[in-house]
Amino acid sequence: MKIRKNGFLKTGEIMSLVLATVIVTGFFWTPYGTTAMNAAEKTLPPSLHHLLGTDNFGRDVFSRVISGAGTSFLIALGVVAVGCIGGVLIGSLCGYFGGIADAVLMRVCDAITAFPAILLALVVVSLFGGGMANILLCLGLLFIPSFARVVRTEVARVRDMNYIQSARLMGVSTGRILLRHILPNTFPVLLPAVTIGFNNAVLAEASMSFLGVGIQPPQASLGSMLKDSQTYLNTAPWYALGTGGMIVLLVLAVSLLSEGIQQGTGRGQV
Amino acid sequence: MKVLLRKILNLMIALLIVTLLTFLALQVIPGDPVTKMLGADATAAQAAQLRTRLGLDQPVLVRYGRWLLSFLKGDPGISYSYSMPVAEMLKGKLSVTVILTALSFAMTVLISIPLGILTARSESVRVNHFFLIMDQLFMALPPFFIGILSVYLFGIVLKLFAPGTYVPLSESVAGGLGYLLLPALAMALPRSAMTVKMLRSSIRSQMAEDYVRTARSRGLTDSQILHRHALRGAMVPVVTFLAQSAAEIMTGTIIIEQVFTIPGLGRLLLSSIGSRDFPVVQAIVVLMAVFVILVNFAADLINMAIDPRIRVS
Repeated sequence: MKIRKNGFLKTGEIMSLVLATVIVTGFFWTPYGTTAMNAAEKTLPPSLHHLLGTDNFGRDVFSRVISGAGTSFLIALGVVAVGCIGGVLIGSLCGYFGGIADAVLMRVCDAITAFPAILLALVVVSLFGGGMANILLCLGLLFIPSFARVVRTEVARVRDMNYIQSARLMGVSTGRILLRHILPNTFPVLLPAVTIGFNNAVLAEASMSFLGVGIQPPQASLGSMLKDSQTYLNTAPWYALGTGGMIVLLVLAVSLLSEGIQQGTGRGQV
Repeated sequence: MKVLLRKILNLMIALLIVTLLTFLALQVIPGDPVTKMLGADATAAQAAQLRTRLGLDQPVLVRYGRWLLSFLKGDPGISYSYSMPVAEMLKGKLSVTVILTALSFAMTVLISIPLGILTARSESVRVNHFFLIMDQLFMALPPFFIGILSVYLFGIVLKLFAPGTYVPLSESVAGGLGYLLLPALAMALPRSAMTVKMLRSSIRSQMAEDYVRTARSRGLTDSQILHRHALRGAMVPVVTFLAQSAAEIMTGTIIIEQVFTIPGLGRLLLSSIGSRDFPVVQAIVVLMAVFVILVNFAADLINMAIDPRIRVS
């Protein structure tokens, strides 16, 4: 798959690379401990010692933001992985074989995508308990239909093309046709779907943690930090700005990548 | 007409499935409302008695049927925690959430449609780039963060309003609506950015169609073509997207109500989930689901009016 270079792609790549480096570093090392409290350094404004200041417990906001971004990043990756694998499986089988199962499954997919994922996820996760595994699984399952849709459309489009029929005549097995000849066609539509799904997952996790039903403290999560920071908006506005800013940066980086890919493959607008 | 009937039938089926799923989902979750209501030291006999009184000893499908019937009659049951009719609890909150949603949706339409048309018509590369970048920026701003930023800026720095002092519309229409402006805008901004992007690319692809070339050869100006012909076709995907937006905004109120401490459905939903007050949770989720289905149905009707081809296929 060829992607033409463009400004969006380049900016997105640089931003994503920087953020990914910071996040991955954060898994092993942060300037301060993410749960280390320090009564002497409560709600300090940003300085060279604490890049984004400290929170109400004297914890370093920058360290916590990085670690929270790491949590969001892992969950979003997991959600996209579950959604993408499930979606590719269902979408390609439905698109290739068609029939009643296809019609029924696509109906169900339409129904699920019509509902804002956050409402369903909120109710399910809050009733079954938060934590990374539950959020990941719940959002991942809810994201399957959107992937299945785009894959199905693409597979159904190329299913009866000449080269596929030739492959069939030559005795290539169905599995091999699907994997080698059809699936690569879906990459140009799958890639933007992956980036959009990633962003939706980041936002959904942040919203849920913000409402207190996602990641539970003391594990750092951008959403729950943002919720805490609201209480200290008066005394420590940098807490909210730093945390929310990180969410924006994460989403913006991936969204620029997505726009760049779509423009670079000739599917976007100029 | 036949298409319309089929759509209405689909609508009924969708509503049935949604209500059934919500009902079933709330049966399998851990946590027993009866123990929650009576406390840990209740006797088995007391628990059994309460179970019978609430109808919890009946089979699931019987309970679903009963619940659906009374829900359709406008009675979604009785709250476990407050022992008062759910309808009573929802009354005041529903109107707040509906007004907030309507306000935000109206803003989205009023911002995005003119802006989308305007930017689609512009041919300057620089202007186009500027709007593409603005689109990306605003799409990346989550409503709850815009909300917090505006609470900080307008509430704390500029002191234009006092956060957390929502006045019900029944007391002061201007005060209540005024308080809802910022939360509505917080939800409308990212949605508008998405809609503008969508409308622009939709118009662009319509303007590349053959019929537009024909119209041009007949001597029509681009602006005439856009307003008389292309806009109509370009609106079809946008109407569908706006329906989705309305649904997203409706559920987005759950979060934004928390940011601005607005006593709407969202806050009630969260507290009811916390106390496992299933009749209330169920009623709110079903209400939101019905809203989503109705909005999508409305979008289908509008699209059928816009594009005659949809009426037959």
